Amino acid sequence: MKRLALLISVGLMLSACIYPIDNTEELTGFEGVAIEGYINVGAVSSFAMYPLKAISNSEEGRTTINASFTVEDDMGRSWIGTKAKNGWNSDFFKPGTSFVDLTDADPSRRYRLRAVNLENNQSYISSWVDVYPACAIDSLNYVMDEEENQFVVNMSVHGNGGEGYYRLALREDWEYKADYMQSLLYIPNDKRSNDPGELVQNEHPNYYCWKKEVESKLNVFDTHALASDMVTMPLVKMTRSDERISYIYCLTAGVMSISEEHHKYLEHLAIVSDYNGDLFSPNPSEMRGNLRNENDTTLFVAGYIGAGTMVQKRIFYENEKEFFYIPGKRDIDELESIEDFNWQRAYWEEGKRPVYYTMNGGYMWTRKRCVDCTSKGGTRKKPEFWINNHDL
Amino acid sequence: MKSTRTILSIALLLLSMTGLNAARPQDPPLDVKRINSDSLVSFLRKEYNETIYFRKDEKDVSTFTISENKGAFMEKALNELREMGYTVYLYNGEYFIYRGRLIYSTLPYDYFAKAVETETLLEDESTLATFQNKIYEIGDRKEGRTGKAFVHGYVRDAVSGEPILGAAVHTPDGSAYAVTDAYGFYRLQLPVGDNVLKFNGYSLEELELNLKVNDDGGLDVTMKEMITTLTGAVVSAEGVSHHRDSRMGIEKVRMNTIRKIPTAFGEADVLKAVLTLPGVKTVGEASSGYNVRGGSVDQNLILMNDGTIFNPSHMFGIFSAFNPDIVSEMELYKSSIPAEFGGRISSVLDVRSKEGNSKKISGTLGLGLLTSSFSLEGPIIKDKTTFVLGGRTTYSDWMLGLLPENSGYSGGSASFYDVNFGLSHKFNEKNDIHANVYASSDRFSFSSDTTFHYSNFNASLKLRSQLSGNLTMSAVTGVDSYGNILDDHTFGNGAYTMNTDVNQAYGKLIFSHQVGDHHKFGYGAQGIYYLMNPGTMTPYGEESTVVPVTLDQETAIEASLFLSDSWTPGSGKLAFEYGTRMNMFLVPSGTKYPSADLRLSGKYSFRDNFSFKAGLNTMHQNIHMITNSASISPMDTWKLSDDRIRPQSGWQAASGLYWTIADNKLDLSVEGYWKEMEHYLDYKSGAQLSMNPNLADDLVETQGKAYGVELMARKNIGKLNGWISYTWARTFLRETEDRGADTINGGDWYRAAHDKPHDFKMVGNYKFTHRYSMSVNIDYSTGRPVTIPIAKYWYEGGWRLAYSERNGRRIPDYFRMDLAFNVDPSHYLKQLTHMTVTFGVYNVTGRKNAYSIFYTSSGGGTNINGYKISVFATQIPYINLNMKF
Repeated sequence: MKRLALLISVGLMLSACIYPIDNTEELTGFEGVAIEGYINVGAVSSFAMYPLKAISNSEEGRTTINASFTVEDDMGRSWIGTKAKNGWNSDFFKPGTSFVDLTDADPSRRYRLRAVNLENNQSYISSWVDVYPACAIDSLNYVMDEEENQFVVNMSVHGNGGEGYYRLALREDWEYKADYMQSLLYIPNDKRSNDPGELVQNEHPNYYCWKKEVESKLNVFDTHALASDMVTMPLVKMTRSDERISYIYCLTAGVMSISEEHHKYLEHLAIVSDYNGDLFSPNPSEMRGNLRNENDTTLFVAGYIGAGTMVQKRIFYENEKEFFYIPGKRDIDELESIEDFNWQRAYWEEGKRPVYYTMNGGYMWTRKRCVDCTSKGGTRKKPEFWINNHDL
Repeated sequence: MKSTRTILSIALLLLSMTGLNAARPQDPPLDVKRINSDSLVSFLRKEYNETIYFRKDEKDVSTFTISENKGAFMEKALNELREMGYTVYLYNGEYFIYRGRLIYSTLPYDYFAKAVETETLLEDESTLATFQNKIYEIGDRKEGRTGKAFVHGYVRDAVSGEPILGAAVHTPDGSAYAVTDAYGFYRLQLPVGDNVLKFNGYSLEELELNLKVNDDGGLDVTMKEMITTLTGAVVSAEGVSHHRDSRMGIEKVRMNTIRKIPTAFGEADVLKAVLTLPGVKTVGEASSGYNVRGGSVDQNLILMNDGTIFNPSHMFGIFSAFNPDIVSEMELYKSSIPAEFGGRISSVLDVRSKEGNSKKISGTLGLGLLTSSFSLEGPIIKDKTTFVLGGRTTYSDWMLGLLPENSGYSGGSASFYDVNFGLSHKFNEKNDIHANVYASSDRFSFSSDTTFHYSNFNASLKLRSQLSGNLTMSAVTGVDSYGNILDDHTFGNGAYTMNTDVNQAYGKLIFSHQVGDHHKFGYGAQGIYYLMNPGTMTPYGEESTVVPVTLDQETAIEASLFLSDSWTPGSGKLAFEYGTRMNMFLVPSGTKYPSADLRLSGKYSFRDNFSFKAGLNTMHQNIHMITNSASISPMDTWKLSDDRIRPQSGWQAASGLYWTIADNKLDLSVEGYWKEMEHYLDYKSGAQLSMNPNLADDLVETQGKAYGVELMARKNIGKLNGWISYTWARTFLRETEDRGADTINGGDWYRAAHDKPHDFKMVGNYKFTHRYSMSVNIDYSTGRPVTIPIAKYWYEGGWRLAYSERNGRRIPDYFRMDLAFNVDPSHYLKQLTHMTVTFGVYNVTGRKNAYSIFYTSSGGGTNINGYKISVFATQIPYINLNMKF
């Protein structure tokens, strides 16, 4: 009886399920654009305009609209955007194609953005916004919690006279290794040939790889309930068998002081985009930002243009110094010695690769995924700020 | 409105086509001339193929001449036999006709006790009447006393001594009629002289007593539960009272019916039973609260022993707050809300707990998959003081612990308990007092960072007094409290504890006054003092730098006077109930919200079994639930009307036709309604609902309209019983303030979250034997409206969603069928315990009904995918054990 109850109850809890649904509705009769970017006074700002797409549109990635951007201040000065190359902001937002150099802008003035869709000459304008002073990231550090078996990265931030509302952007990069260093490279013959081919020294083994995760969810926080405009909070939590800390892990955090209205907009957008549909979720609704279409104010324009400065801080964790990482259950193949007359079969039919030769003249082979780190989805191209040169 | 009228007309037409009038013109005429009673009975047997037992009085020399259509001949013949002094008695579908003798269908209670001869019951005395073979004299014999006299008394359960609510007390011809109240009390006027008084109650054996009424007097009655009369022709109280009462939109369900309705985990559930009734909807499975005729969840006044239950659910809505072992019965007022109730604009759910067995100690033990319950009741002083104690708890924590680590809930916990205690004392026949306490607590967390907790507390004291033969008084006072607490330590130095609570103290005085033959007045006063804590935030843990904040407390006083009259002129074909409730809501700033509510209803009975009713109600509501989710969430709070937030108001007009057929076994009804609401609160986009000192800035007022037609067929007795209902209903809302482009739906009407036009429900129970029965529950409804995104756009590193009109789409239709097999205890009286076992399957077809549809990004924000949440996505077998001792 007890066992029956157990089975039934567990079945019940698992019966509350989530199923994917198809949405084949096309976008009809709903027009608008989304405009993103920040007026980054004292630095280079980036802006982009995006079209609306049907939910069913499976096109990956983003498509920008060919648009022009102009930043204006309340003294009549204006800065016209140009196509520019990467700035550090691209680490976080991939903002698009237009950059405005505001290095000589006066932080005491008010600003607004004017944008023109060059494909249909529709013009958009934001409301005037104050420049919010940059906040400061006091610390970004990691904690290796052995009791909880958790790796946690904490951040402390304090404001400098803003309203206590913040936008947070995160980027994670990590370097990991293949299971074995492939010191030999096999040059096979034609598949049908009986010639075993040859082994040469591998000058560029796929041993070190990098992965990157840019937080796509909108994160905002505030310090209004706190005694001072200062907050300490955990940014990332992971178990100690997480691949991210298996070798070198890097977290880059960017924080920007924003207005209360801006905070409200982003928080609402996060809820309706990422947290809708729960049993107690708020009924979704549309909230307008501070941008309007000058030709028709009823048309949909998504986005909020704020003015301020994004500050960032970066932290690295190296497992070879800390040894906190504990490998979890992994499917690692044993190395096996393969005679030369079997190399062709091992390569072509079993997908194996040579690893190294032994002192007694044999050759150890294993499956490709154990020697090629890219087979786990990483890339051999390291981030430009990385602390070693393993991609050489 | 036009479509409502059309549907109503069609329904009426259909009813008229199905044989409304038994004496149709096409019936063949029957004639008898100058035949004696023997011949008349033989004629009836032959023509109607009925079993008629006839014992002719030796002195009977009467003859009969009758000419009638066949449809009315039988009734006329029986009436003429009655006029000749014969008693005509229908039992088990067979007629017994006799004169000067009594025939008994059951052994009287206490059959082996010493029989008492005729006794006289004086005005200030009552005695227990259980013998049907006895003539009870009521009042002193007074020479020349004519006219009518009041007879009053209590109807109680013969075994437990508990009062029976809703039993019909009436003369065979219906010339005098009363229904017992929550205390089993009845009062009616009978002609001085010989009378027969019948007592009927649902699932109770009918009782027929012979009275000799001399003057005003009392008569207490005990009735037995019907346990073996499965095929008996028992008139249900509902069948009789349906056409007597001018009020409409009242649904009464007793616990023995509720226990047969299959539920997800097998535990009898009062709220789930409410959801099987026409006109009652919910936004989805496992959601707290319900919607009545288009109203929102906070527009329902939920009372338990006069105390307000602010959150009627445990575990997110999976279980109701009411312990089934304690509840005696519940009544839902959807339309004609008595004037004594106020403060909510949609409905009143009045749940009453047992008073306790006055004869002996008894109890129950219940064991389910997730919960266990117990109850204990009995006399402290026999027939004077009784108690009832009940409790429930859950052991679901272990189950969450079994979930896979990657489910996200493996470290979670969810638990609740509730406790009921009741004490009743009878000072004398005219005065009794009742104390009730209810407390509940829910606590759950789905992660180690956040814990939710909410609790209800209610305590009440009620004094009931019979001031005279035609005047009773009830005085009740109590306190109600609901609070919730959130511990959130997601952020290191931002960890906090937040709590809100709503408290009220109330007093209520109700008089019930029978004046003359035709008027029954109800009048009284009610006062409520509200005290609310809209929010307190305190630091959680030593590292937290959260500054303690307490929002200003809210207080208010609500005072009401009410008066109503139930007027039954003439023969009873016509009846009216009308009344008013005058309210004054006072807030400390000096703002006053006076209001006057109307209660009007009337009925006309075309025949004893066919009547028409219509009514109009207006209501006001000064307390609002602050939520912007479709379902009640554990962190929802309440807000009082104040300088900036006006009371909600609403009115409802309704009418209906009621027809009882098949020997009073089957009730058919069609009710239509139109309802409008004003000042209902909705929320601006991005509204901050918690810890917001300027909450009114984030609120918008809306108006609502709802209309619909409810069709219902209900069979309360027999082997096969239950009900089938179909409801067609619509509910729309509209923002009244013009906020430009931010106005919800541009100021146009939009569907309410619970607008589900088509709704079909069936609850059926078939008894194979007195021990074995099977229950089925079928529920179909149109999918509820949802707001879904119509476009996506790239913004700040991911896809974001653009929404169009509010509630512009619907989730797929809902269908569910549940089955249960019930094994009731045997009736061996010497057995110490009686075990009820229920096996069942919830959602037999395993349909994956959608609770909600949502969209979220995946793949690092590069994809937007739509998903459907199904709460109970497969068959859920269960077993439930309930032991009585």
